[in-house]
Amino acid sequence: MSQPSENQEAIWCDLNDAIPLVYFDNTRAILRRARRYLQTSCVGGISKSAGRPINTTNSVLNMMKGALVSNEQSGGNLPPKRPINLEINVAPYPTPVPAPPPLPAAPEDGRTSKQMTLAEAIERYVPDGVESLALGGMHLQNNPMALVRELIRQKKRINSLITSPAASLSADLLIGAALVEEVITSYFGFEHLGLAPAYRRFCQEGRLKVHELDELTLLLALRAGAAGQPFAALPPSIALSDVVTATPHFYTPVQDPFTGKTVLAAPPLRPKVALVVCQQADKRGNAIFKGSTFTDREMILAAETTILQVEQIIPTSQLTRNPMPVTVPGYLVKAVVPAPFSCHPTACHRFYNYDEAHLKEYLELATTAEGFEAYLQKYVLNQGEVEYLGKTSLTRG
Amino acid sequence: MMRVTFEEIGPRPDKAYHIEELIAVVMSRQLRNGETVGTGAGSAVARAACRLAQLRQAPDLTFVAGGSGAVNPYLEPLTASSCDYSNLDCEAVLTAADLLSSVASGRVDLFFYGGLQVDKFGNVNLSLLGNDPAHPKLRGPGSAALPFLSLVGRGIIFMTNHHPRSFVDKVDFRTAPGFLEGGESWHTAQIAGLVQGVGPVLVISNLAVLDFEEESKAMRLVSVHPGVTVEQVKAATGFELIIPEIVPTTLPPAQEELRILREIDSKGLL
Repeated sequence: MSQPSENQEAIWCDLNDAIPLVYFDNTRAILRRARRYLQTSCVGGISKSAGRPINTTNSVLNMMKGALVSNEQSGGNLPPKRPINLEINVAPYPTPVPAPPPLPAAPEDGRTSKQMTLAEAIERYVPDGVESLALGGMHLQNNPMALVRELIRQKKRINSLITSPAASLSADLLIGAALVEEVITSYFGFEHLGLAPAYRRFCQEGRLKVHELDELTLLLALRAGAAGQPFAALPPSIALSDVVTATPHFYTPVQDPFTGKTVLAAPPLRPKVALVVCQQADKRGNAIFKGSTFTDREMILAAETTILQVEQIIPTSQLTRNPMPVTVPGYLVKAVVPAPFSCHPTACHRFYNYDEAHLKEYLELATTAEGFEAYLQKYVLNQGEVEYLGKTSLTRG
Repeated sequence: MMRVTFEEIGPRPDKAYHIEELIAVVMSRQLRNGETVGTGAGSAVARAACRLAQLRQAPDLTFVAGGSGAVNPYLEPLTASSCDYSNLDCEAVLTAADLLSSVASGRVDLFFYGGLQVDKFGNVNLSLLGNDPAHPKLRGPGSAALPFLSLVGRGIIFMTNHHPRSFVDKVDFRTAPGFLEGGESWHTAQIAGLVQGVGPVLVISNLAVLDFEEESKAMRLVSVHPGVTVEQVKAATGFELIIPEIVPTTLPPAQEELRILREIDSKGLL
């Protein structure tokens, strides 16, 4: 398999889940052109799927494949109306993933770019011993893994770690690396893959203080933080659960001024720093979620400083034409860090799925302190993101 | 959680079914047309049950895949997580905040959930094992949305490992309130305005289907799964169950139910 040369447009496609493993700035343009090409010049390619919307990468790639084959089979009877400079390499895995191409320089419009490298963003915006740090994503999706790995490389200690309502690897790594004093969470695990090993180990050894909240309280506390409210009033039924007695600070009884009844109130959460993944953003931090938003927007709105980890940097001109999907305005964002594929081994909605084999390797290693250290040495410490990705199944031939 | 993967057992013989498939079918039969259902993390069985109900008796059923917030996802092929992007082939997507708010305000009629332990009165523990929350013997995942589910109309509890350690007299930590300490305490909580829903109505395990006696709110055997005896269920339960005089066998999946279920679960996840 050959490397793409500079003027050759190529898409490498893992046919198992049909998500392009290498993104170039022009990937979308290629797909658009391929779609037009199929619609206008190659009847054989789309006849099977006619009537079905051609709106996923998967179907476009399958159709391109079908189109090329049927063009060959037609004995040249269906020549493309215009030439297309397109190559699809059908191979299970590409080797190796090349570094993303350098991004073009910012336009000279006088506005400041917030784009920076991973190391720079963490160094500049996360003080050692930061009072509170919120982690976006949920379960095995959209964990800001590149930012978390960099936190570990720079040994930034965190006093209070605020997880999304469902924490997994990103929070477990920070806890395992002994950087966290206390954690505010509502669910901590790896879903169908099992419990969170480092979290479990630290809790059972009494080395981690846990403030367990229910999801709604965590969310209402973040919203109260975002809106400058003195506290969040909670629905009454929560009083029946033992979380109320286990985490009394977050379930404080107050009198309802309207009915005189006793209700529970939670203090507002205002994270000093929030680490969040968005699929696309411009250099100023105007960002687009291409999948579920989880509790990421609540975190961004409540946090003092937000660092975005993004899959793709897009030009501002591209989002001003259609601003409705831009649900994070740049003024809420301090730093934009391009880090394609760096939610790995967790998933990034619409871009790639989680790497179950890698997660299982982590779950096995992290059950012991020694194993956890071995994981850090192998995958986190003394390496950058490109080197890390080179060790993963994204590149294993 | 006990889980047999497809790889371990190979392709399924036509007439047999997996225990997860039986659980999904039993769950699915509980769903009524027009209801709204919430499902949580790692809930492939519950989501399959909802989709099956939509394709059979309840075309107007609405269900939400918690995590991704997907409303009425077209699951085929079923994936392990409700948070996966694959769920976003659906009718609408809620943010986590909107979903949780609407659950808390009683807009969801039914919720499927499970835990590390369930007790005699349907209280569920997903938080920790041991008596001291500060030094747990086992730290579990945590409360998620469970503490306020008693606001929801009905709760259906599913436990994939029926064992004296998971069916206990009293849970170590009451994450999701069930009928508290029994009928009387439940009644008191209702009067105090702390409960708007009807509490857990059914427990589905890998051995049996159980519900709660109307007065005492204690757990009662409803049916045993094919091939399971009442004695086995008694032995696997850590407290005294109410056993009715006649205990039928759980109706196994009908061919039609199994056919549709396997179309939903085309990758053989269950």
